[in-house]
Amino acid sequence: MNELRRNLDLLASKGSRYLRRFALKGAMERAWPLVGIVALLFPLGYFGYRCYDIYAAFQATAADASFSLVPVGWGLLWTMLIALLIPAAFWLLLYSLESRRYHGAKESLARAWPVVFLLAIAFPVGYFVSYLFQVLGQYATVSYGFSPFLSLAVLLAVVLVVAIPFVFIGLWAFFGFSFGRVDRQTSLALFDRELGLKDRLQSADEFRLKEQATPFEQAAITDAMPHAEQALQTRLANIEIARPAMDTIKWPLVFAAMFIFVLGLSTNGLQFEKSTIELAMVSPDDHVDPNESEEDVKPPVFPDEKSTEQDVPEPDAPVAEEQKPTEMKKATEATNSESSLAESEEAQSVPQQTSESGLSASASKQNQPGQAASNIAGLGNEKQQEEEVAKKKESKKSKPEKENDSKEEEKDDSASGIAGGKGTGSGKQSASTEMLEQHSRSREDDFDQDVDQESDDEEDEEQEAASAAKPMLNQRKAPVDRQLTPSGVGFEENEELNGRGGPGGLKKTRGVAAMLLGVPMPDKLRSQINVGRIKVQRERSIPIPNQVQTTNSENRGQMDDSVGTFSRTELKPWMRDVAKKYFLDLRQNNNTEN
Amino acid sequence: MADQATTQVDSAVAAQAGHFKQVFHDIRAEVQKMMVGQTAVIDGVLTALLAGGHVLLEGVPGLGKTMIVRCLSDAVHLHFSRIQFTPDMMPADIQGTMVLTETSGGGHELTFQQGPLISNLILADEINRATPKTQSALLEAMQEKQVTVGSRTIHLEEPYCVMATQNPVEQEGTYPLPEAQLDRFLFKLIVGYPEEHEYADIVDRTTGSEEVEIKPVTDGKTIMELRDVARAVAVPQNVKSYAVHLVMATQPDSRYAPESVSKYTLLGSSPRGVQGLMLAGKVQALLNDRFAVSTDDVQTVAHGVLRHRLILNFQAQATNVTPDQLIDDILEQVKTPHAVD
Repeated sequence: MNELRRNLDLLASKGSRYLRRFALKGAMERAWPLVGIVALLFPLGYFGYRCYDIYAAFQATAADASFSLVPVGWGLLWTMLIALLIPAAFWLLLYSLESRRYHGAKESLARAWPVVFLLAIAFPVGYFVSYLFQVLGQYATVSYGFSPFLSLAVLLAVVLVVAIPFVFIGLWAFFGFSFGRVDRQTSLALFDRELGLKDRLQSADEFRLKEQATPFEQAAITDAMPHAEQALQTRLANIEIARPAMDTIKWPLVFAAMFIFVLGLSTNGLQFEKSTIELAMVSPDDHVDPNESEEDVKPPVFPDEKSTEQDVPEPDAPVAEEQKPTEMKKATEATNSESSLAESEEAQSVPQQTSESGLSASASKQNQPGQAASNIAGLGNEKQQEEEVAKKKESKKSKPEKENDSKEEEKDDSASGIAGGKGTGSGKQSASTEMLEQHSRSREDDFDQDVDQESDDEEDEEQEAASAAKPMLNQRKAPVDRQLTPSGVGFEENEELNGRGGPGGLKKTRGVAAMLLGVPMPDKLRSQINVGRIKVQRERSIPIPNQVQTTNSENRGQMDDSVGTFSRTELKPWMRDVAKKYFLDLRQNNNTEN
Repeated sequence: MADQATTQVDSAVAAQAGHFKQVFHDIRAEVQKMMVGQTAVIDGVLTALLAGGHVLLEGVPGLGKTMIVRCLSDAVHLHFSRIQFTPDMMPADIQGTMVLTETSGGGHELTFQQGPLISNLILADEINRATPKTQSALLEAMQEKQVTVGSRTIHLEEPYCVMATQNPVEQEGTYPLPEAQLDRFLFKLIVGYPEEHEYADIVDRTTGSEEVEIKPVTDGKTIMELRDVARAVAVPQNVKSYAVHLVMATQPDSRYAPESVSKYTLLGSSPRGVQGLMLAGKVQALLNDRFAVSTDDVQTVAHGVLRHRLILNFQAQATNVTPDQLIDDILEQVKTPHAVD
């Protein structure tokens, strides 16, 4: 017993040492998935720094420099597509198999996921490593003055992307090995497994500690003794480092790769350089509507005026710029400013000449359709709508005086910037909203002191269009007072009060007329007219008697009657003897049993 | 002195274990005089007999399910009765009933006419053809080893073992066994087709002129002694924990259940599953010349013990997932205690 205890102690210590190395392996396995993330940290940080560098350089030389969006290279685009589409296609395939209940195929494909993920991550990593070489070489040249030093870039890249993760693994493994603990049963289980002892050592070690072991437990202890000696002589096989478990890192790294792609696109697409084109920023009107005449083109402004002249226009600046509209168009085409980023940059940097255009710019930035409809002036769609309104008026009006009035009206409106609000500046509004807005605008015009006949005609047209859904709309009056605060005058009757203008007068018909739709809406619900309450009609039927023929009992036939004579085959003598013998035997047997 | 006593104890235990193994192999050899192949099924039936459990044999017709049980009854020299279950069979037909008999004095009295259930070795052939009412008549006999008819309770003589067969293919006109009865079987053994090289032996033994005679190699008393030996086998704590983990892994949404079990299982094993794993594992340990159960023994008997205790849901049936596949998942997912990997 003592010998067994000593052997088991030795085995436990031996197994513990071995398993601490095994813990090292486990620690390395657990560290492997983080390697990718650690390796991706540097590109992320670097590109953050790169963006800051570009921004600082731009600030330092903002007076004579400009941003220009360089079209993304095909190589980068392909890289991005591959990196994003491979996991997406793979995921879609898995989803398809799952939906079709092809579990076997799905599982086999799911096992291939690490390979697919590595393929997906290889493209962005390769791209950024190559980009890193390029940028580091340029950076060394510019910053330190010596020639492009590719080896330095390679060294830095290798150190930062490869060596640091390995150092990370080393530290992780060191702590895993140092602080790992292995219990005695686990150490013995290691030898049981390695030598195929079927838990003999574990069982013996457990039974050994019992005060009163059963005979079978005692036999198990005895049985384990030779195996323990054998285990002491055994050298355990070396531990092999398992492959990293890729399942735990797939999604963080995919997102990290996508994020780096976005950063790469933004930093690679933007080039910072000395301004060789004096006019990099142009007004959006110049290229939004190329059919406009040169008179309608608003003059561009220098980029350095962007921050200072948004609110206060400088009348002297456009003079020099108005002379070069064609050059501006060329510059616009060269910078390929059709992208949304460029448009937004330009839209924000466009200096405004008049207060009206300033209002329109602010309204367009707020992206509020209603306000933009009432305030927008100077945009292309507003002009188109003015032209449409003018054509419409020309068709409606026959008198030339009205034409003159309308032209004056247009001029006034274009100068004030209010007339543009009559058009539907935003196409996002629904038809009903537009009609309601037109009605409200027409009511406001009625109470304006400068109202003219043309607006009345326009209102009549609109009311005609909406009269089908709004009964008595022509007789309706505009609200007297839109303010909801009580006037304090009282509730006396007023001729002009119609109950729709707020608390000024007694409430009459408020609400019902306003709730009606301004646009005739066809009935979408098709149903049947209710038939009303169920009516039960009782019909009276007259019973028709059936004629039954009765039969007296004496007339019925007899149920029991003779069946007649059966013909009997005459048996031969030997047949009679057989039958006689059979029945005699049968009777004799019955008598014997009884 | 202590070492000498220990040596004597060890030798006695070793003798018991040796006797157990010897009887086991003798019975198997006798059965294999008639049965060709089906070694796993024969071992399973013998394990259940020596562990004190009942067996459900499932297989298509003509594979020798009934033959195994008949040969076994001859080999162990136990009272054997066969019940051919039919849809019109009633509980009284298998348990027995009170009949009116004529006494010697000319009078009449009610006496109990025992049914075929009162025996040592019961072959319940095509048990799923009987109605649940009749199937339920077996519950008390299988669990409590007694039969109650009216006010009379009859204790069945040990060893008592029910070996039922059922055909998995021909399901029309059959009644699936209720879960309560399935749970009472220690093993559910799948009888498969013989191997190619076994067909020649089958032809020779069944169509030749030489009759195979199976000799009794043991008796009921010896069987009971061997059962006691099997129950005395030691079980270490890690094996108990492992068996519990396995049984809990069959229960959907338990902490040890693999994803496949939670997805495809409607009902898991009851604690009878742990009992079955332990009893069958003890027999396995003795057959492998060990005195304590190991996790390998539990793994060996896991399929037979657990496959009929896993009630699958509709999704599993629709996707042709079998209980054996789920048990494979369980054995792969549930690690043994103190596992180093």
